[in-house]
Amino acid sequence: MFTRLDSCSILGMEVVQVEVEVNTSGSLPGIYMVGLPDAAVRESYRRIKAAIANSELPFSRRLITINLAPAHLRKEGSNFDLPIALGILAVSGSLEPGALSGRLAVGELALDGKVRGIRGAMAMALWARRQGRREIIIPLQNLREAAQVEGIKVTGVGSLREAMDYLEGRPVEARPVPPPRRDDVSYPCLSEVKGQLQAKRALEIAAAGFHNLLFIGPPGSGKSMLAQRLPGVLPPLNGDEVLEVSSIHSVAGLLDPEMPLRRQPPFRAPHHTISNVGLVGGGRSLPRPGEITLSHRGVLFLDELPEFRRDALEVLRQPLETGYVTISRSLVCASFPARFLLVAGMNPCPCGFLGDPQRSCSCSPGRVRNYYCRVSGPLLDRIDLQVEVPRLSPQELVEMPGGETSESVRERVMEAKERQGERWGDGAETNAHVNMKMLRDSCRLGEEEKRFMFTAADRLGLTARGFDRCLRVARTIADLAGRDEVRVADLAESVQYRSLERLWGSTVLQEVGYAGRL
Amino acid sequence: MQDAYSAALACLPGMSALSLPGLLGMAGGAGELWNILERGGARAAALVGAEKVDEWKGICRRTDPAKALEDLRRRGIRVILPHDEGYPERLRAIYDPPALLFMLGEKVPGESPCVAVVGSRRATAYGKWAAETIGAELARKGVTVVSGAAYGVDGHAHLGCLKAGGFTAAVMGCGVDRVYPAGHAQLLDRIAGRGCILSEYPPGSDPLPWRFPHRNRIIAGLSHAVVVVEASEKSGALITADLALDEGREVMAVPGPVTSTLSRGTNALIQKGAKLVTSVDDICEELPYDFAARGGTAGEVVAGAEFAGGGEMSAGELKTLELLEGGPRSLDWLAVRLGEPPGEMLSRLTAMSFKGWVVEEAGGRYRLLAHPVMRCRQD
Repeated sequence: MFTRLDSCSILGMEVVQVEVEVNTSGSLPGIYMVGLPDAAVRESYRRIKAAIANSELPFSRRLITINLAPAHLRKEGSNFDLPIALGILAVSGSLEPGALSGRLAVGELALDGKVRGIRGAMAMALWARRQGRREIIIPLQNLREAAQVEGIKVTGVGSLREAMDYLEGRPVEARPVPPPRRDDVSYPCLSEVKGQLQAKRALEIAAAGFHNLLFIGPPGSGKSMLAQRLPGVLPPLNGDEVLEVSSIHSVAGLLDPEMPLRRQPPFRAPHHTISNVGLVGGGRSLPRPGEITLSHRGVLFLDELPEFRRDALEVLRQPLETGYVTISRSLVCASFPARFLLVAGMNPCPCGFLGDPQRSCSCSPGRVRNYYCRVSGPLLDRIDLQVEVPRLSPQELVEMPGGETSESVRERVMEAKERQGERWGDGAETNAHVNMKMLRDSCRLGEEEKRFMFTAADRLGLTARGFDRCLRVARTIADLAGRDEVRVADLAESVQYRSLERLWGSTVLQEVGYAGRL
Repeated sequence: MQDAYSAALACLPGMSALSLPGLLGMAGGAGELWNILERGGARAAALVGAEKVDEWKGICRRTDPAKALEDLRRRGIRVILPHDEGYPERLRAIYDPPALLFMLGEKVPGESPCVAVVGSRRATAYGKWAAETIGAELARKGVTVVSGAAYGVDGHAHLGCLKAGGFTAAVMGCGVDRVYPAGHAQLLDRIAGRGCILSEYPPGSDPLPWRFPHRNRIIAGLSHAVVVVEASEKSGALITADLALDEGREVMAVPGPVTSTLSRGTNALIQKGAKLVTSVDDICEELPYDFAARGGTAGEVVAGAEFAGGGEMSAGELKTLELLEGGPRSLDWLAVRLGEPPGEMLSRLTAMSFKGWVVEEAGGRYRLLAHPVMRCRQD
């Protein structure tokens, strides 16, 4: 007896088809499993045996050979339990073999015959739709998540028996797809932060142009508070992005089954002890998404940037530029999307009080320099906005108004985003990532603007790259103001977001203007 | 040959720069001291102690002083002895003048008026600005600026002087060929090119902590006056001021806000009677030179100190300047009072800083540097 059905498995962010073939032969009972199964897959036949017995179904008493094709690919995880069990039932004669042909099933089995949920059901449903399949059988627990994918029939089964009933066309207990709970993740409002106008302005610019952002300020000045409010200023994800982000979280097993669609941009804030594999993704045999992929189309907040391991920060460089990360291991190679907005926080010096009006800093210039050296230049080059977040005195805290709400800022951000979409075409590009030549052409700098930039480059010691970064920020500022061309005022504002160079300059020799007279 | 012997003696490992003048006096000259050490024995032991005699005896026998001096010359390092013409008169007059000076650069400060500008290494933007301005304006009056090439005030005083085309001398606490502090490599190059770098320590000496207070006596000794720009209560700049007082040199201080820890030292100096400096003329008045007779440099060079952005001023800029008169302020503070969006404020502050009116300090505060309206009224 021979039968075959389809299943699938997650490889990185991609879904690969795996054919499950079951054959019986000979007369002595036994089970062989071939096709590079890993430990979890090899163990599965014990689960399957128990589940079939507890479902009061017969188990074939002949030699069973199970093949997972393609044979060269390493198979991981427990989502082949259900298809293997169905195949064994078919060769045992409990299920008519024709019922299985062309079916696609995934699921893990419990010993009592129930079907357990799996990781990545939404990604699998999306893949199945792309493959032109009409139906996918998944665990009932994952039904709500996978049912969000339109254009494919998703069937949830609660137990092995139920799967058999369904396949043989017997009536199954009606299971309406429960409506997903509204995504009520709401990020805190910007008006809760008092003062810090420059930082809030920087958040607005960062959200509009997807510019990376660095907050420099003493402890307790509100760097984390501000960063947590950034996703609330970002425009909500559109239809495709929602599915993309949700399926990433589904693959990582982080999706809330009650609330399968993530309409808000994600916010991730890993601790600074994170390893580089944790940050960019990877793993022993099959790569898993890291924090940068989990914050795809959202915000990755790295507080205490200089405390992060240097090698962990260096691996950020390539994904920041390209928007994806490719993990190559000896056995597999996987690509993960990683277009995230990096928000970093750091103190102005090791003790944290450099420039504080009330407390004096106890760090020597050399120590401050070493502190800045821990963040590499190439990484800082990719951060367009560097803003100082001063600590407010209690008096200022009382005096300062809360300011605008996240909602009103988000409206301006969405308008600016629309302008970028019109200009760059498909709407996926942002000012921070668009080709530099296209950006320059769009700015249409006049004579006065060019003269200003030369002065600025001279006075601030801007490098060529710093010059480009300023231009990108100025482009976004003009977009926020609803202008097509970039003016001197936009450029003048953009050079204010180079705080780190100024702080760095205060530890080494920096030329201050001495035009005034003592 | 005296200079060769002196230089070779100073270069002996473990030779203390402080005890060298005494040893030379006791031996009766550099050549004599060299011969005694070369011979070794009881006489040498009586002078330098038994533990160093053998080591130095070996070195003295292996070394040819003339060749060592030639090596130094090839590296651009000159040796100046107290009886040389180039040795500054004022330095010879102090209590413990150095036995010799190693020099990198063109010429020694000489007879032109010298002013030391010293202060904290962790200077604020105000201190840096003041140091740079004083350095530049002193240079325009033909005054040599002496300082220690450290971070902060020292570096900016040198820089201001160099930018205005003046002559500046850096006195080091290490060998003249050492780049210390490392961040000032370029500055030291410029000083060596247009001014001079001095040290009593032989080339290659490490910047050891105890060398800096000793070096300060040379800074004070070279100068007619010492101006302290910013100093906390325990700053090394106050040591320089004390040493200058001991030698009867003028001590002056730039006042600062009472809230700033970095101005406590300078404000205390003023309380004790140091002259308060509000303009570079305050410094020049105390120098024993007739500036009017020196080609009238005092008035005309400084007049019309250039504002990079030109003189135009908008109403918003005027209001901002008025608000900043009370001291450095944060953007929040300004924006609340002016009732303007932060974007506009930021671009205006950039324009104002390019005109040289304000400067942004660490901590995100803006400080008023010069008030263009007040200047117009005065001039």
